[in-house]
Amino acid sequence: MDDPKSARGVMDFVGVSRTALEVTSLSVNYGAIRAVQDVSLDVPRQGITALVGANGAGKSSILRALAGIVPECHGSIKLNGVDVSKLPARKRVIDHGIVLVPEGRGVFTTMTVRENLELGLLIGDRRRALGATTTFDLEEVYNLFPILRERGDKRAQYLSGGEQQMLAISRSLLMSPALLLVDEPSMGLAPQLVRRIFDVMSNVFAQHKVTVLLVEQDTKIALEIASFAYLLERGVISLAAPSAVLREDPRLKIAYLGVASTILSGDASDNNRGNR
Amino acid sequence: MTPYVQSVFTTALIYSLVTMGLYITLASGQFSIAHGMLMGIGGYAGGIASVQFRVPMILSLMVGAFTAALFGVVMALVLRRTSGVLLATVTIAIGQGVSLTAANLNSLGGSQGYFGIPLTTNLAWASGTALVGLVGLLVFRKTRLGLAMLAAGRDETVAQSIGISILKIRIWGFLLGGLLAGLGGVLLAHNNGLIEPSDLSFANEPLFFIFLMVGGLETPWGALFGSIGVWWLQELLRFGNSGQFLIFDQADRYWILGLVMVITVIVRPQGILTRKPIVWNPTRRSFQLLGVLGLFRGRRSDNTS
Amino acid sequence: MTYFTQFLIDGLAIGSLYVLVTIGFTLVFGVMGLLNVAHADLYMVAVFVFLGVAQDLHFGIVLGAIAGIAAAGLVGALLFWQVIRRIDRNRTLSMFVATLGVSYFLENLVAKFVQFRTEAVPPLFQSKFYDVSNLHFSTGQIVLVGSTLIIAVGLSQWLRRSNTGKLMRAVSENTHLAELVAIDTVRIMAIAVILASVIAGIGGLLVANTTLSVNPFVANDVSLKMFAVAVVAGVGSVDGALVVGLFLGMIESLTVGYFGSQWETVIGLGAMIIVLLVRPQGLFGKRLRVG
Ligand SMILES: Nc1ncnc2c1ncn2[C@@H]1O[C@H](COP(=O)(O)OP(=O)(O)O)[C@@H](O)[C@H]1O
Ligand SMILES: [Mg+2]
Repeated sequence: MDDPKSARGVMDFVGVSRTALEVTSLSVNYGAIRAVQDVSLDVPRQGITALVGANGAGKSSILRALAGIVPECHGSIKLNGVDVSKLPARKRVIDHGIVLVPEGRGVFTTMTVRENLELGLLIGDRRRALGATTTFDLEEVYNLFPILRERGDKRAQYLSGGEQQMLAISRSLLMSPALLLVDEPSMGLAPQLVRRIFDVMSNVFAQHKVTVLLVEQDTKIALEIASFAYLLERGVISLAAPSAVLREDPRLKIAYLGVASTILSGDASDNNRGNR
Repeated sequence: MTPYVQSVFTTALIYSLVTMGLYITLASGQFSIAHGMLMGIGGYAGGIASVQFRVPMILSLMVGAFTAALFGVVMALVLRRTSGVLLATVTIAIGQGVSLTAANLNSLGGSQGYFGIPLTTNLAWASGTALVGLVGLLVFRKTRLGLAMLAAGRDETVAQSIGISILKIRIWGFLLGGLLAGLGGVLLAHNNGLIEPSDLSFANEPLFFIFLMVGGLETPWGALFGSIGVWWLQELLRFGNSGQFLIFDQADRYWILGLVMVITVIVRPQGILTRKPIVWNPTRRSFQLLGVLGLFRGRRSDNTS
Repeated sequence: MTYFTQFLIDGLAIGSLYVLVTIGFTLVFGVMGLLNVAHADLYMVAVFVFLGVAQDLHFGIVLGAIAGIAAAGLVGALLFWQVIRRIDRNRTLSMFVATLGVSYFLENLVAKFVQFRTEAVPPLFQSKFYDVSNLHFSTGQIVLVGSTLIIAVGLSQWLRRSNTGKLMRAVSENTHLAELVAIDTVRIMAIAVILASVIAGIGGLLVANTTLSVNPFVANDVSLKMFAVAVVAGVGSVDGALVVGLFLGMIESLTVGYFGSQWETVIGLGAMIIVLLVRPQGLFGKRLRVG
């Protein structure tokens, strides 16, 4: 299962592919820097797949390449069998429903909470007109995160970090995503808040059958809600396995050694000592 | 050389000094568009020195250069918290404001300009001063300060992180820019016999940009070549003072220059004539003429300057 | 006191000019970070096209006005598609220099056609002049100030409420994020530039209707005030431009009235420099704002 290409075969049913996203030999360059090298991965339909790895491994670069907003990338990106790798970012969103919740605070801070959500609805309406199936309305989103209803007329800059993250996720849901790319939703948030957001995410994604590729540094929580996971190390996929398997793999912890050992829980560092 | 040819070269060399001033201010990373104003201030100061105090030309030049440089420094200090396009915009406003104020000051001759300045400028003065300016800039680029300035001009944050004081760089950028533009202004005033508020106006400012864009933004040579080249081009468009050239008459040359400028920015944002810096390597005592006129690109020609 | 009030009334008319050119200029900066030096030239282009169509071609005032405004919009569109879009969007300084060239080009092209002269402009309508307890004003002035208020408040409300206005604010705040929510940023920028140009054109006609003259280089003086208003208000602030523009017009008018015309430019310039020293982001903040 270490070879990502063999993982692909396992997931295919006869006739109907369970694979929503199929990435083959993706590379991302920033000038002379090669951030992502020859990455291939699959995201099954209607499930959460995690992409984990240390800081600087190239996780965001992959998501940004899928969304079509990196200056230079190569390789093929197929969503439901259609190659979208040559399409501009806008078309990927509107025609194919590839929606990225970016790293950090992906909200328009000078606009109100409601206006931020309306921007999502505007695209959602167009996607529904094109026949998109995953649909959300404002009411549902408000029920998921009631705080957003309360803060409707406030500018997003006055929200807390967690509330901004909820807003960004909600806006993306309103866009009727066929593939939701979520980049480090936990970044800079208090642990209890991370827990809450992840609970809501896993519930709502399962209920509404959203296809998700989740990038996280916090492997523990990511592997809890994902069914399958990839480990990225310095731009290369080094492991691909069901979450339950990856969670136990010692190589996962080694990948974080030195780079991000501080974010691992206390017992992890003990394990690391054992591995040395 | 006929007097006509001499006079065209003289004017081009005068403008080349202002353009060199623009070059060095831009190279320091300060996007200032007030060099016409600095030129005019030098012109007024030098003109007044010549008329009121009857000082020799060399002293007029120094007075003009000093005054304009001082004004430049004041601008650098006042605008130290402004940068980028906003700085550019603000310098335009200041230039235009100074021009309009000059037009309203009767002691400076009002909108008629300041008259009766002796016609001392000739080709020798112009080329001599331009040479001093050019060599001065080439040498300055090799000094510690010059290198720091060029580094800061490329990237202020990097420069700051290696301990270069941005305020100091800014002050020097405006000081040298004012100095060179002031020299040009004194020569201009002594070439025309007067200096007018309209000389300071923003309306002239694009001209210096055209010179520099065409000549190339990377080296002082660009300012020199650009000024001479473009000034001759517009003389040709003028077709020797009268008559028509193809379908154009002489009123057409200005908008043609504007068009040249826009196209240059789009097609070759670093300028047409020179692109890479002309590197003077003192250890090898050679000029490496890289990219001058496109003829020498990649080739090295030895030349003792 | 009569003098004082008279100066204020005249100042409102002058301030309206500042507002009408500045709101477009500041809008374009807010949306795409471009300081368009050629913006005030669109004002001049509109008036000259109006003159040509209405007077020289005898099409009458109405068609002339429409042609003038359309010409300003067209030049704005050409500026956007043929110049700005051809330059790498990260090179904001190159864009700026290009607009400088466009300004030089437009002014001298128009100047060539009118032999560098100042032209008389016929009024859009026959102005009535009123004399109420020693205060003089005209219907031209009233229309100018009224239209300015309508246009500026209208633009602000449009940005606040309309869908396109919201998209414009989104692009203004964060172009990259705007692309992620599938906003057609290029289209929004084009709309901003053309809208700004049309407003400048309308401004040109309304102002020429009270000054009754125009010359090809009028933009140089207008630009100075436009920059000052934009900087004092905070570049990108439409509401700020309205307030500051009217205010500057009135203060200038008072100063010139009481102290003489040599002080005219000093006020705007001085205010600008003080603001840059004390509060560089301007009184009303930096990016496109309507609050
Ligand atoms: N815009 C960029 N320009 C240059 N290098 C970049 C850029 N973005 C990311 N990188 C480099 O690419 C590598 C991967 O970055 P990123 O994808 O952000 O990693 P991750 O999200 O896993 O932390 C890093 O070494 C980073 O320095
Ligand atoms: Mg990242």
